Amino acid sequence: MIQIESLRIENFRGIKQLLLSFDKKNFGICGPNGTGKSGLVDAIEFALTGSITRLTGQGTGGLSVKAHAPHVDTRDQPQKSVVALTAFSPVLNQHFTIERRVSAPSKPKIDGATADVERVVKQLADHPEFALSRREILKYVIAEPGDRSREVQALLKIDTVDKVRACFQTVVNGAKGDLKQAESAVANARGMLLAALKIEEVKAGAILAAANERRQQLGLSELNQLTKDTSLKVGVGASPTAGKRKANKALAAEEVAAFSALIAQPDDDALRESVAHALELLQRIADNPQLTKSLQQRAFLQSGLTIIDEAYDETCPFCGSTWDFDELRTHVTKRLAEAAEAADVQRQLERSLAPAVTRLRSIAAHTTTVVNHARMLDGPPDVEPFLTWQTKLQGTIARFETAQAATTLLHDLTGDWDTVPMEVTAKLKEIADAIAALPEPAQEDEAKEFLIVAQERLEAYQKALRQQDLCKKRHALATTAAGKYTDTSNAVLTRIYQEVEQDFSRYYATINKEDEADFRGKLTPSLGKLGFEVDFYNRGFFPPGAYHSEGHQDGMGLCLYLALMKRIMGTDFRFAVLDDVLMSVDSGHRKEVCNLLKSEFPATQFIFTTHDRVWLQHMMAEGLVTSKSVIEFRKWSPEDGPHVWQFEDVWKEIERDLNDNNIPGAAHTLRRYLEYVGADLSARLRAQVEFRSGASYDLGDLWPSVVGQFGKLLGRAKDAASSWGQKDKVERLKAMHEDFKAKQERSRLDQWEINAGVHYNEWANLQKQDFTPVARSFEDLINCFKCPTCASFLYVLPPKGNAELLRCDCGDVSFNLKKKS
Amino acid sequence: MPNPPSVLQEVFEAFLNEVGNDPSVEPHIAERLRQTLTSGEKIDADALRRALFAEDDIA
Repeated sequence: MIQIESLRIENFRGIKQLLLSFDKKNFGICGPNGTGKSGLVDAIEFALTGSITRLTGQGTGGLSVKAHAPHVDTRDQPQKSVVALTAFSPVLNQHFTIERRVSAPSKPKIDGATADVERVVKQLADHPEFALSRREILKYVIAEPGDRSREVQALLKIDTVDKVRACFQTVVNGAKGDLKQAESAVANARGMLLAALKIEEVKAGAILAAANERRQQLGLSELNQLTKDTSLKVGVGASPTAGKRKANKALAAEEVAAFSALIAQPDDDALRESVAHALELLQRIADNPQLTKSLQQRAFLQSGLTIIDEAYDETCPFCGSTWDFDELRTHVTKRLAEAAEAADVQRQLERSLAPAVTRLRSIAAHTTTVVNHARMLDGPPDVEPFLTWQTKLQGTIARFETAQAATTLLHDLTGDWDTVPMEVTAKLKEIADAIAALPEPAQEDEAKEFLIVAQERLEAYQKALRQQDLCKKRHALATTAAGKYTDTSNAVLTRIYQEVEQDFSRYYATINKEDEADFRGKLTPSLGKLGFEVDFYNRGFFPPGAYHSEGHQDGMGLCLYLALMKRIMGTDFRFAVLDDVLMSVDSGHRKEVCNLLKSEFPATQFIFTTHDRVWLQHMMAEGLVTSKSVIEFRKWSPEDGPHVWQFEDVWKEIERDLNDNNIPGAAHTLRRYLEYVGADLSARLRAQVEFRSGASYDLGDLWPSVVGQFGKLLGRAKDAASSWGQKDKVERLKAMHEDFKAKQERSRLDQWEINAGVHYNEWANLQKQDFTPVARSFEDLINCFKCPTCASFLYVLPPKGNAELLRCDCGDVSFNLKKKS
Repeated sequence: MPNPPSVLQEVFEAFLNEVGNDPSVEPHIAERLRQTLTSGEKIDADALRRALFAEDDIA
């Protein structure tokens, strides 16, 4: 991962031109809604990934990066829309700059590019989750379990785990289908073998007995055992009628008669009933256009879902368009669930058609037997009608098995699905007559033919058995592999979720240690879902949205995100953008959020945006950001973009206004800055301020208390230093106190000058020379609250209880407030 | 905290370890699965089918 050093934005989203220096540190951006904060987040995301989630994610139909990322005034010139981001890679110890133009988002210009840098940039592009908005964070918390599972899986990059699982299942299903066919082939081969040998069951003894009876007639040696290499016809020599096989009259007659009986309308009540039920279902479908449509769509959607589950790129197999497959999967799954009635009808239909499928399979298999007998007759008779019918039967079998295309099925069942074509009936009679007309074979020839056919059918049966065995092995292997994959992936995911769950619980308990120190959250993975329940004050586990407030849910979202990012990136989690995340967290918990980020992720650069100035002040007060790493977007216009206020530059800005003789502007800026600093110093110095609901404090509420408190603190520090015999500190504090009192006096005298009522009243008509001393006096006063070395505002420790220390960030100012007892 | 391996990598390693220790899965099949899952090539049903049922395994 990287840390951002600077960002240059030109004609991008709502920003005309902006240059920011982040210096690899945490950075806060504050501003009311609509001032361009999210545009800045978009710019960071675009620079790093070439994409913008807000323009390409869910619910962004009609929006695109190319059309809508450029500033509205340069919307037809995407080449002018540029973001350049300078970053540092701690792992590579290398600086580099990525510059992207909206006209070519996938072709960044990387200054300082090496193979390693390109790998880092690629990694960033693969992890757009470094930028997180409140809307996105809530996806993890209040989403449906299926949606949450997808979101978290996408974040953890584990959607491929499920894709591979789906692929294994496809292999298992295929192997199962092959095995079913192989079993059917064995059943047919067994029937043919039994018929040829005229035995009741396939047992070695029965087979050998039947064969030996004929071998004895031929004076051949008896076979004592049946192995896979045994030939029943060994010693028989060539066929009795060398050159062309002749029909085995008895067997042919028997099997042609059996076929005739099979194709005659069967007296089978179960088959009749199931076909009648299928017809009833098909009629119901035909009478209900909605059901017809649902069934058609269901088949289509199921095929689509399989394609989505196995797909590795998000390209539609139909139109080639790129989709968000997660979104598409959710949509298709929902549509399938809506077709519940259709699913039930589909299942019933498949069951009802199964006996018909069995019958048709049997007819198709025996057709081959009849054709083979026919081909051994003199003539031979034309077998084409049999082959045509067999092809037709196989088509019907395929339709019945899938039980789709209801209209065709209805046509089949009300028509000639098992009706014997007249040509077949006529040809069958012709064949039966031809067989009957065959001369009775000599006993020796009959015995030879018996053994030859028996051997053929034994080999066919053995081959079918081998194929069945292979299919069984493949099915078993596929099932084992798929089962192991499912088990191991579940175990790994469960462990990972437990780790995430533990970190999440710890983070959240840290933020809410005052009242939920024993808090626990539970992530429960199941097939395609991820349950998320949280403890509610030891009353049990409930969905996060059940009892916890919106602010608590925001906190949970952040904690879950942080726990997931820790799991994904480990020490590489060096950078994150939190876009208006935690806006609902109340002030009592913000301090703990700041502490959590500082203590758990000290090496991570966070860029925060917020519309809440008080939140920003909390971040500054807790040292999460410094006054040098904070800007405020105060207003926005299409022509100029955001009007940026970097707090360090406030005095320069006032000076600019004064040079332009814009006294009201300078006074307004000064007043807002003093309000901001007053609130910050109140918190830092633990000044007592009268409570206002909504925290709408103005200058008069804050400054008297801040000034008074600082004076008291300096006095206490001086007394304490004196009690400890620290003469140098006493002198330093005396000087500070005197200086402070003088500057306080000067600023108090001038305080009326910044009254908005005066400055927006035309007759006041103040000039630069009137207001310059006012601004200078406040700048001087405010500098009294800062460390001369590190320029950070001083603060009191601890934040609660007895005040013990007045200090700065660097430690140059560190005054004990406790006297020697 | 050390950099964690990717989840997919962990799942594949655990799976291949299980398959490798299962006497019902012949070593050469386990090896083909390893090659398929770690090659970086696209993993689809056909690739898995080839790994599990290569032609030379057909009787």
